[in-house]
Amino acid sequence: VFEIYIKTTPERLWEAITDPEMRAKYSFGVQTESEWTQGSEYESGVPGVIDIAAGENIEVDPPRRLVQSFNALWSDEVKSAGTSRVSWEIEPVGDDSCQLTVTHDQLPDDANSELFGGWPMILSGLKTLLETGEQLTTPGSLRYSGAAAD
Amino acid sequence: MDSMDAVFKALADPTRRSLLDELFEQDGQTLSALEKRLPMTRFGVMKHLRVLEEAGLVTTRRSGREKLHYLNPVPIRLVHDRWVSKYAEPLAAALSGIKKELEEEDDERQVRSSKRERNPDGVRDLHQDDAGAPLGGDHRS
Repeated sequence: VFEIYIKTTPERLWEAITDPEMRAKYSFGVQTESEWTQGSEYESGVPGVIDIAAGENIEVDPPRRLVQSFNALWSDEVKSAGTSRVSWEIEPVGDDSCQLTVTHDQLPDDANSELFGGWPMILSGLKTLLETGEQLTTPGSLRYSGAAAD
Repeated sequence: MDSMDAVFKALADPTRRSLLDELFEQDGQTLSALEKRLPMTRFGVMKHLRVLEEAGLVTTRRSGREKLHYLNPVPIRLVHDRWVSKYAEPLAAALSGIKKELEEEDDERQVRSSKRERNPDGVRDLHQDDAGAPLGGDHRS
C-alpha cells in the first residue's frame, strides 16, 4: 500500500495517471496506452525498446478509482509472477489537495521486490510533476529515460 | 513543510522504528500480532501506531473484522528526494552499499566490540540505525 498527498485536483491527478505523455514524465519514459473504459486493455512500455506491463482495466471510475490487472513483462523472472492487481484511489482532501493510494496486491508470497519497489519513486515524481510542473530526477529516470533499457 | 515534521517526529523513537521494522519484515499485520512482538502493552502499541499513521508511514486497511497495518515508504522517499540530488544519488547509494557490506563482514568475524572502541562517542550506533538508507551514507561525504 502506497499513499501520498498531492496538492492538485482529482481531475488533474486522473489526467496525470491516464495521459500517456504525462504518465511517461514520472514513469521513466514508460508510456501507457489505453482507451480507459471498463474492461478495456492497457499496455505500458517504451515503444520499440521494452514492454513493461499489460492488463485489463477492471474498474474505471474517473476521477476517483482505477483498478487494473497487472502482468509485468520486463524480464522472464517478473513474468513468472503472473497476474497481480494495481488499484489507484483518489480522495480529495480539503479544497486543494488529494490523497492518492496505490495498492499493489494479489502478488505471490515470494514476489520479486522489482515488481512493486518502483512505486515510491514513481509517486514522488508524480507529486513533483503536478505541484511544480517539473520532472524529478531519480535513479529510475537516469537509468531508463530516453536511453535504451536492458 | 509540516508533514515532514510529522515524519521526523515519528521516526525519532526507537519503538516506532521497530514497529516499521516489523511491518517491513511482514506487511499487513493486525494490532494483536504487532503487540505480541513488542514488549509493550496494547495501549502503548496503539499510541505509537497512531503517531506513525499521522505521519503517513503506516496505512490501514480493513479485511473483514480485522484492521491490517501496512508500511507506506512514500514519505521516506520524499525525504530522500528532497536532499539527495541526482548527482549525489549514485555516490550515496555506493557509500551506503559499502557500509552495509563491510559491516556484514565484520559481524561474521565478530569484531563488534573492537569497532565500538574506535567510536566511543556513539555516532556509529546512529549510523547503524540508518543502514541501507542513502541519507545515512551522506553524512560521511
